Amino acid sequence: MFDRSIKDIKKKQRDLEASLEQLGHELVNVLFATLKIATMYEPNNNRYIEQSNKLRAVFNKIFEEESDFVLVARGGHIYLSDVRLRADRDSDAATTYFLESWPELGLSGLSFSQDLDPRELDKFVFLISGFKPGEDRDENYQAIKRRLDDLRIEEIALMKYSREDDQPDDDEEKDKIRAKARKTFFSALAVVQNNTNKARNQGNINMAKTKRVVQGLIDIIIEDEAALMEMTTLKNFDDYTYVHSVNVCVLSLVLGYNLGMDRRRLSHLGVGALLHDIGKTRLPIDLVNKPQTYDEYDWQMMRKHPVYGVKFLYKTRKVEETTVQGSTVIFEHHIGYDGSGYPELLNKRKPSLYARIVAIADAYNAMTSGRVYHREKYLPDQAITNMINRISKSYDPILLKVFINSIGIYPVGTVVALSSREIGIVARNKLEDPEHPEVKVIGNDTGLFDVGEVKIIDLSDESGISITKIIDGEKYNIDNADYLHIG
Amino acid sequence: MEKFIEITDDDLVEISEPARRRVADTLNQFMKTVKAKLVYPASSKLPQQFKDEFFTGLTTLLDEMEEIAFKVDADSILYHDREVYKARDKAENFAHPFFRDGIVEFRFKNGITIEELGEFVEITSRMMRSALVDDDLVTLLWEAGFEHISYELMDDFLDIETFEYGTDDIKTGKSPSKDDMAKLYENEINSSFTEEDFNLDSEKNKSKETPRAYGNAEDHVAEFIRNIAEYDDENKAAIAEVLSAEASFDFIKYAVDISFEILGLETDNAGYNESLDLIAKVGNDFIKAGDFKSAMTVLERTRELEQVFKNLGDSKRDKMREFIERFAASERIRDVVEILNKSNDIVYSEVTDYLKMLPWQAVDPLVWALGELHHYPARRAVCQALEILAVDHADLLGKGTENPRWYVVRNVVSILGKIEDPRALNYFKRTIGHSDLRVRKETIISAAKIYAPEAADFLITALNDDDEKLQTLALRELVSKRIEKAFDAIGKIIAQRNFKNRSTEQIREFLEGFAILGGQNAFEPLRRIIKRRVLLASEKDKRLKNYAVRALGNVNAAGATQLLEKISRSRNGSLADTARRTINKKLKGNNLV
Repeated sequence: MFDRSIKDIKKKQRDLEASLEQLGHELVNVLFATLKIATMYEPNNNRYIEQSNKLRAVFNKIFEEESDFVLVARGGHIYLSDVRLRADRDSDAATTYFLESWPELGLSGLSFSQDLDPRELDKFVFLISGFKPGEDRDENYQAIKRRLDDLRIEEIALMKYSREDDQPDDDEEKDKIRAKARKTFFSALAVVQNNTNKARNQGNINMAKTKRVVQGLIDIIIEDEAALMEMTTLKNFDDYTYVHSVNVCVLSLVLGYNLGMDRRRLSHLGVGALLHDIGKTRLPIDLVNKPQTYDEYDWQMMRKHPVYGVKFLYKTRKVEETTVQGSTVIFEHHIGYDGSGYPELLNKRKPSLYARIVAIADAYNAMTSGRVYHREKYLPDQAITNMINRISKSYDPILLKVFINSIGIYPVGTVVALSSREIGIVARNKLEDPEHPEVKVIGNDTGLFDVGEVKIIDLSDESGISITKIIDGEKYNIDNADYLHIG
Repeated sequence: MEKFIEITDDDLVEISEPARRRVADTLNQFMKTVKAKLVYPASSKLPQQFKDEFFTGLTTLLDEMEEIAFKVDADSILYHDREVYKARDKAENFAHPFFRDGIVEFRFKNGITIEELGEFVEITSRMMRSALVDDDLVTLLWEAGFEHISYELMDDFLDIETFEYGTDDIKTGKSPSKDDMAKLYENEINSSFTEEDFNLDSEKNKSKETPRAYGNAEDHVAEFIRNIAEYDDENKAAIAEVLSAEASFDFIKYAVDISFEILGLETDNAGYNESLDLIAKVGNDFIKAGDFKSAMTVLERTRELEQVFKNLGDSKRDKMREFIERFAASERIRDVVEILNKSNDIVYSEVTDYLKMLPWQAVDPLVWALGELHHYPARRAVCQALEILAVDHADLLGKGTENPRWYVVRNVVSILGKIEDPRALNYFKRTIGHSDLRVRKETIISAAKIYAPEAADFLITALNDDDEKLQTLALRELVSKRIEKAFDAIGKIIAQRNFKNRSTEQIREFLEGFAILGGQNAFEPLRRIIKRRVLLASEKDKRLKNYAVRALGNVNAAGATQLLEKISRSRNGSLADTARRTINKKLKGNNLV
C-alpha cells in the first residue's frame, strides 16, 4: 500500500516534470519569436498582437501548473522551475539566442508571478527587444531594472545572468496540420475550378464557398504557414491556371498576415487573390494556355482580362464590400506601383493595397512556375532579384520587403546546395533569420537518400552549414512532392 | 411569431426547470434585441436597451453555468436537447440564418463582453435582413474572431468536391537517376565553388555577409537581401501607413470610379454598352441597399459625362442620353419604392437629391410611386423631386389627377400648384369637383398660386362648394389676390336669404371680403343690409347687420364714413358700439384686412 502511494507520487512527479519541460520548450520558442517580432512591429500591429496572444497562452498554461515560476540558464542549459529543458533540435535557434544574448544584458533568469498582467508582459517584451546593450553587463542589468521600475512591471523579476531554449513541434501535431493544409489547398483548388466553370458560363460564383475556403487557408497560415507554403511549390497539376490562383492566394495571405492584417482584411485579400484572374475565363482557352510567347495581338487580348473580370464580378454579384475589394485586385493587379502597366489608366494612380500585394504574389508565382506569362522559369533567387530590380516601379517597396522576408530568401520547397556538399529542400523559414532556414537534407553526391533517412537540420544552429546555391530541382528530376510529409 | 416551449418536470434530467426557463428567457431576450434592431431606426434607444438586458441576463447565467450551448435545427433551437425556440413562420425564423449556413451549434462562454455581444447581435440581425443574403453568417462570425462565442459547423456543409487529399496524384513520378545526380554535382556544385566554400570552419562561411546564393547580385539587391529581416523606423512607419490607408478605403467611391474608368477604356460599341450596363448595375445595387447618396453619385457622374458628350455628334451622345433615361424606367422606380417601403434607415433628403437628378421621363413612374409608398417621408421626398422634374412637364404630371387614390391626386395637385404652370388649371377643373374634400381643398390652394385669369374662376366656383371651409378658403384666396371679378359672385351669396344662417366666421369673412373687393360698389349693398327693416329681428339678423357695419370699415367712400358716424350715434347700442369701434380702427388705419 505504502509502496504504491510512493509510486503514485513519483509518477505524478514525473508527469509534472514532463509537462513542465514541454511547456518550457514552448515558452522559450514563443518568447523568442515574440521578441523578434517586437523588433519589427508596433505593439498595436495585428501581427504582434497575434504573437503576443500566443505568448500569453503559454504563460496561462504554465500558471495552471505553477503559481510562480522561474526561467533560468545554468551550465549551458535552460531550466523552467528546476526542470531542465533537454536539448531539442527544433529549439536550437531560440536556445542559442537566449544563452548568447541574455548574458550580454546581464541577465541569468527571470521570475514570473501569477498576477502578471498581459500588458506588463507586452511592455516587458518591448523593453527587452528594444534594449541596446552596452559593454558593461552589470550596467545593462541595472538599466533594465530601472526601466522595469519606471514601467511599473512588478510581476516580472530579474535574476542576474540567464538563457533559454525552445519547443519541439510534436510530429503528430505537425502531421495533422500538414494534412489539414493539404485538404484546404485542394478545396481551394476545387473552388477555383468551380468558379472558373461558372464564370465561363456567365453564372454566379459561389461566394460563400470562396470565403470559407479562404478562411481555412488563413487559419492554417496563422497556425503554420510553412505547411501551406510547401504546397505552392508543387508543379504537377494538369490545369495550372487553377493552381496559380490558389498559389497567389496563399502567397498574398502570407504577405498580408506578416504585414499585420486582421482576419477581416485577410479574408477580403484572399477572396480578391483567389479571383484575380477570373476575367481570363472570357478569353479563348487556347490563348490562356498558349505555350509559346505571346505576340502583340495575344497581349492585346490578354490585357483585357482585368476589365472582363470586374464586369463579370459586378454583373453577377451584389456590389458590396467584399465584391469591391475583390474588384480592386482583379482590376489593378497588373498596374505597377508607379501606375504603369495595364489597364492603362487615364489618371495614373497607385493601386490599392490588396492589388499591390497580389501583384507581388502573382509576379513571383508566375516567374517561379514558368507557366503563366513567363514562359521562362525562374529560380526563387532569380525571381526575387528580378523583383528587387523593379522595386518602386512595379512593386511597393515595403510590401516587397515584407513579402521576401515572409517567404524567405530561400522559400519553402526550394532545392538548395549546402556547404556540406549535400542537397536539401527548404522546410521552414524564420522571419528573424531568413538566411538560416530549416532544411530537409535529401541527398549527397552519392545520390538521394531513402525517404526514411532524410534528416532535418536547422541552419541557425552551431553546425556552420549554409546554403551555397539554389538549384532547379525539376531539371534533375527532384520532386518536392516526394518529401512533403517529412519535417 | 416565435413561441417558447413549456418545460415540464419530466423533461429535466440534469438541468433544472428554472435554469432551463432562464436560458429560454435569455434566448428570447436575444431575439427581441435582434428584432428591435430590424424594426427600429438606428436613432432609437430601444435596441440598446434590449441589448443591455440581454447582456445582463446572459452574464448572470454564465457566471453560474460557465458555458451555454444551443443546438440549431431548421426552424428550432434546442438547449440540452430540448426545444427552447420554435419559429412559427418562415418570415421570422431566427434559427434559419444559422441553419442555412451550416451552423449546428453556437455557444456563449463566461467572460463575454458587451462589445462581443453587440457585434453578435449586429451580425445576426444583418443576416435576418433578406436583402443581404449575400452575406455568409459563418464568414461574419469568423471575421469577428469572437473569444467567448463559438460555433460548430456541419461536416462538409459546403460540399466542396476536392481532389484526393493524398500527395500521390501530384507526384511527378520522376526521381533523379545517378546520371542526373552526377550532372547536378558537376553543373551546380563542383564547377561553381572552391574548396573554401565547403570548409565549414572558414571565416568566409561563418561571416554574416550577403547570403551566398545572392553573392553575385548587384549591390542594391545584395543590400536589400542583407537587410531583409531588419525593420527600421522608416519601415515600421511605412507598414503602419499602408494599413491605415487601407482602413480608410472607401469601397463605394471605388466602385463608382472603377465603373467610369472602365467606360473610359472602351474602344468599341459592344464594350461601351457593357460598361453602361455595369454603371447601371452599380447604381441599382446602391439603391437596393438603400444607399441613395451613392446612387446619386453614380447619376451625377453620368450627368457630367452627358455634358461632356453634349457637343459630340457621334452615337455616344445618343447612347448616353438613352442610358440616362433608363434611370427613369418603371423597373428602376419600382426598386426605389421597394426599398423605401422596406428599410427603416433611409435618409430621405438623399432620396430627394437622387430623384431630382433623374430625367423628366421619371415623372410618370414617380406619380405611380406616390400611390405605392407606405411612409409619409418617402412620399414627401418624391413630391419634392417632382416639383423639379415636372416643371416643364405639367401635362405629364397632370395625368396623375386621374389616379384612383385620393392622396396621389392631392399630391399631384399640390405639385402642380407649386410649379405654377397655367396648364395645371385644366386638371384643376376635374379636381375641384373631386369627391374627396382634401383634394378640393388642395385644388383651391394650388389654383390660388397660379397667376392666370382662369385660376380665379376655380376660386369663384369654389365659393359655392358644399363644404363651408372650402368656401371660406376660396374667399380668402380671392380677397388676398384682390380678384375683383369675384365681387359679383360674393354679392350673390350674401344676398341669399339664408346667408344669415351661415357661421359667424363665414358671415364676417364674406362681408369683409365683399367690401374689400367691391370698394365703393360694396357700399350700397352693405347699407341695404344694415338698413333692412325686419319685424321681430332675430339674433341672426342682428349678427348680420353687425358684421355689415364692421365691413363698412373697408369701404373707402364718403358715404360709408357718414353712415358709420350716423350709426354710432344711434340708439341701437350694439350696432352703435360696432360702428364706433370700426371708426376708431379706420382712423388708426387698422382696417380689417
